[in-house]
Amino acid sequence: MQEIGKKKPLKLMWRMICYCPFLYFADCLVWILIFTSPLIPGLLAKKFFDILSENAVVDTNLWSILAMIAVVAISRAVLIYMGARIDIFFRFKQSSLIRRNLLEILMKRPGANPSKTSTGEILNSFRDDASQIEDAVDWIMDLLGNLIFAICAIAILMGIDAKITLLVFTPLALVIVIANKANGRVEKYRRDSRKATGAVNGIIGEIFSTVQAVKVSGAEEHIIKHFQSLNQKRHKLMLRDTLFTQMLESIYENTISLGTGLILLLVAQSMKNGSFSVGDFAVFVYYLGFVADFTQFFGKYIAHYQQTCISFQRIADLMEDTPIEEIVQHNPLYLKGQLPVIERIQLSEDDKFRELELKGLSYRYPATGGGISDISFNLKRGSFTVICGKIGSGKTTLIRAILGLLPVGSGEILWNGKRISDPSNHFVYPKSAYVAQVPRLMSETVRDNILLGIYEDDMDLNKAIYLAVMEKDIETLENGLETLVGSRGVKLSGGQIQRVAAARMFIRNSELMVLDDISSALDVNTESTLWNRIFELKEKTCLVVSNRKIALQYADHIIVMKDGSIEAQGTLAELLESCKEIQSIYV
Amino acid sequence: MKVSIKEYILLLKKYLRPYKKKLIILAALMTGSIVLQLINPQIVRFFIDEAAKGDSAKHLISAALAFIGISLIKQLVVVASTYVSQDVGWSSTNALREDLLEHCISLDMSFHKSHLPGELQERLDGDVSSLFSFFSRLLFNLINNFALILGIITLLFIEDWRVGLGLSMFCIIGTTILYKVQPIAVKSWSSSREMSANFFGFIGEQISSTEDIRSSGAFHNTMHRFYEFLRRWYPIRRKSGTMGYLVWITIIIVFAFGNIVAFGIGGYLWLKGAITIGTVYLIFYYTELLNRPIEQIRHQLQELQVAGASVTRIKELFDMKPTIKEGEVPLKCMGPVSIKIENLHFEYEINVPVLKDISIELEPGKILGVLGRTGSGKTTLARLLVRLFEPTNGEIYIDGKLLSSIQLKSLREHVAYVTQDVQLFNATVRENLTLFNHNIGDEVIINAIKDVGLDTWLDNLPDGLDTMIDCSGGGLSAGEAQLLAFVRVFLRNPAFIILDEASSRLDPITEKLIEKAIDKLLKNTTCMIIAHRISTVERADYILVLEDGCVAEFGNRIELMSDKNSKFSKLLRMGIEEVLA
Repeated sequence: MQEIGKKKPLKLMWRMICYCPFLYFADCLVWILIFTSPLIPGLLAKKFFDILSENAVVDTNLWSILAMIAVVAISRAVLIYMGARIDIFFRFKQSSLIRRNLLEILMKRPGANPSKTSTGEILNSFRDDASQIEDAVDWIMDLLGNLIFAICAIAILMGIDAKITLLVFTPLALVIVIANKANGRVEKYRRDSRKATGAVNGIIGEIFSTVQAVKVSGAEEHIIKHFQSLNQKRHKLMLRDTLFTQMLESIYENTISLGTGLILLLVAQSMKNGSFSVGDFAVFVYYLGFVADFTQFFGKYIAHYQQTCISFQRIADLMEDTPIEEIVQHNPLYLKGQLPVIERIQLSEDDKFRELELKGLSYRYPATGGGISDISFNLKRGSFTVICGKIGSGKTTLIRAILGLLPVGSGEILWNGKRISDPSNHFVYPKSAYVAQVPRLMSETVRDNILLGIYEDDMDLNKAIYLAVMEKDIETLENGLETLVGSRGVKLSGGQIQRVAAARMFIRNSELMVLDDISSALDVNTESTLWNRIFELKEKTCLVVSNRKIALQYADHIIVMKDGSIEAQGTLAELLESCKEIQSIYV
Repeated sequence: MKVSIKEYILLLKKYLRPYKKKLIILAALMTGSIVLQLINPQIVRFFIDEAAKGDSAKHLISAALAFIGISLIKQLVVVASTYVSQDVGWSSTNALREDLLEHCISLDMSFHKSHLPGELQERLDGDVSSLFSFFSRLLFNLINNFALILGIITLLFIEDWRVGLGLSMFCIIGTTILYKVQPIAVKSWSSSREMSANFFGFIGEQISSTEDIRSSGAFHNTMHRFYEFLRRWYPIRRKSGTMGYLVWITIIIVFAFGNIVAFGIGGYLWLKGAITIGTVYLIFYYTELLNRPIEQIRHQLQELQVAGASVTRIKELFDMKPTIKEGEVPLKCMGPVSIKIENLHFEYEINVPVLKDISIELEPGKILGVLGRTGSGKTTLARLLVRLFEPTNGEIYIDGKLLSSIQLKSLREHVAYVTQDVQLFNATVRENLTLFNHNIGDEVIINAIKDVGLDTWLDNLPDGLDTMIDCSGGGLSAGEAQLLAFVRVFLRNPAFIILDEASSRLDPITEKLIEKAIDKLLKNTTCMIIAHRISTVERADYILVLEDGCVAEFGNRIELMSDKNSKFSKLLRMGIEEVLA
């Protein structure tokens, strides 16, 4: 786990700004103008009251002030429109960059799902943490604009009466100190309430992923009760969070009224003798409001920054070992122009599969302690190897460890005699292809689900469908290959989903094919057809998890798993004689 | 699409009713803060006029002190009202979340197939959260602000009717313009949220399929689609964002107009000698005070846009009605039940029949084995029997009662359905097994776990039943997950069990292990087993062979076995061939 701390986010945000520096500069420029423009109405108000109190009846002056107020407002409106266009673009680029990089990092990380985080919580990071960071970067220019306004305003007021300015604005500075002291608690309360929100979001996601189970077991009532208890917890924590924030905010707000009261107290004497005009009073109060807004915004920004640190921390937790800097790496977003062409990966002669060797491969699940230990075997080009074993013996774990779908434990994996340090990036198309036990389909057409970005004319789609015994199914589907399937296979049965995934594997024509219990949802006929079609393939290397006779009979080499280790390996004939375990499987 | 006030009010009425007392306290607090805000400018006017008169400083200092005192009290009132409104806001929106969750669960499976969990998450929490600010702050502040405006206008009328008239004209024109701008913005917000829901749906799907994507080398494809989403998203976001700023721009213009009116009328009346300079300042101060509610109304209108779009979509969700209607007849059965299916016909989509004219009958306690190719309609038949879908035609009777007339709750209680895809929660083992039913004792759970032969698995759990399982099933083998699904059934003691390919992923050893347990369970139930493997249906009394959604064969297992021409005996031979080949 990497600790983000308080300073690193600043560096990261700076990197984000550097992603589009000119856009940011333009954005800053316009917004600083917008934020400082209220200086003028303040001066106009002063002028207005000065004219009145001087009793110098110059009508035209009075009316020209009104005209100037109108001009200032209209130019401010124009600036805001310009600023909006630039700012929206800038913001979109910022959060999209975070989302893009997070997606890439999560996709490239070994292991299927992060072990402790639900999809709902990951989505929270994509949605909320990215916008949180977007705001944090963007508000820097609000902060800057407000600061420049405050400096100018204080300079003007000092020119009117330095003593009163100091006496009124010093308490404001004190407020910032108070707010800073309270920040530790703001952060803690925020963290707690965010956690409670994450829990609520997580359970919603899970409930809808498992909605069928919930419905058929009539568990609605209990689930809603569970949801209720999470809701109540969130209610309590959020209330504490907002109440505390509101109290801080109240302190800020009070500074305006207190400041005005203070001015009244201080000028009682000078106003009476006329050295402090009503116009002076007007501009003091007018600017006081804005400067107080700045201190309040400053405090808010500090609180927001604390939250942003939490957001970065949560993202860092998702990224696990990947350094956090990669989340702000400058990568193209392709908002305009040509999208990048997906190039077909060419296999180098060196990578062409000759042999796979495992030496003492081990992996333990941190949660349960189960797993595999000391697995060693060899796999040659063109061979058909079957891993069999009882339920929970570690067959799937073994496959996942080889393919790098689990973090690397101990032991070595050798490809053509060369040690592979990062199996998760090695065992991919076109070196290997894999059909999981419970494959997932996307909400796309059947064709897109099979191709997943591979060009159709590159490979033979029909052959892949034939190998996967999908051809009849495609015919019966309403729109054939163009039929839209859901995330969990809207109109497809479990067996069909598995065969779509198999077709996805076959079309990739990879060197090594790995199948994890492909037959688990198939009926007898379909299953034997599928096996026979695989057997017909020449020059293909297969690593298969199966306890099925047909597969075991065809195998060149069988690995029998028991309690996470290899019980025995060899040909079927050898094993049937020597190994009790396979005798009980092969019945 | 304009969000009608009526919809807001309906939602409000329903979810705020339980908090009447708190709302009254809130109203009192708000009135207090308005009155306090109205007093302060009067003090300032007094101050300026007294100073101009050159009176003693004593009056001026006590006026300044009064000003400070009133400001302090006002802040206390604000904190108190924040507490009350937030409290009510959370209580009411949590109730809404719960209702919405319950409602969405009750919707048809076809709804769930077409709405990704990530998307529903956005609806249930994202939309409701934007409604939260509507409940907790927006509405109260809106009322507060309008009351403040009304108070200011009244006081200005008391000063001079021309001032009152001028500034109320300004308020009316201002709010009208803003009211016109608002619906345009609501519309673009709605499409913006829709887009973001789709986007996060896509992300969620990719995240949960990383395994498939990685091994297929389809990473670039995912990124490609991500970029495509960005391209579609940006113009929508630009539009809705610009609309939000448009409201702000309008307010700046409107407010400058207000300033001009105040200065204009104030200056004019002063020139005529009708008012003092203190009163001119009072007008200016009150106009500035109008600034705040109008400035806030800007924010609130922006939030109203969001809340408006959310109300529309929450209403859309609530308007969806499940086609599965609640029945009235309770299923009161102590033992096994009879099953009767008559001329059952079903299509997911119009004119694409999945099941055609199925009629079978099963006496209580009998076991039916269902065989057929993938896609022959076996799973669909199971789904109809547990009423996840409604038959297009034909009837199903359980225990002699029409399925659609049976209370859903009692149906779920007595009918268990074990699917091939075991769905797990990110929760403890206990919660996963009881599905959050806290009424089931640990002893019962442990016994059920032992019944399916998972004793050693249980012993190896670091925290026993409190061990967390993650929903991806990491650390659980598929077979173990399957066995856990059996435990869920064991905890319920149903009268009718449907096993859909339940044993498909179990190896022969484990199959044998639980067979005893299943025998025990089936002793007192009727059962339908959908299986691909012959061995699984060995215990069946009847066999149903499905082909393209039609009954290809139905009959007594022994009789079918002895009939050499029956499809079942052919299948049996193929199975035997499988053994011999």
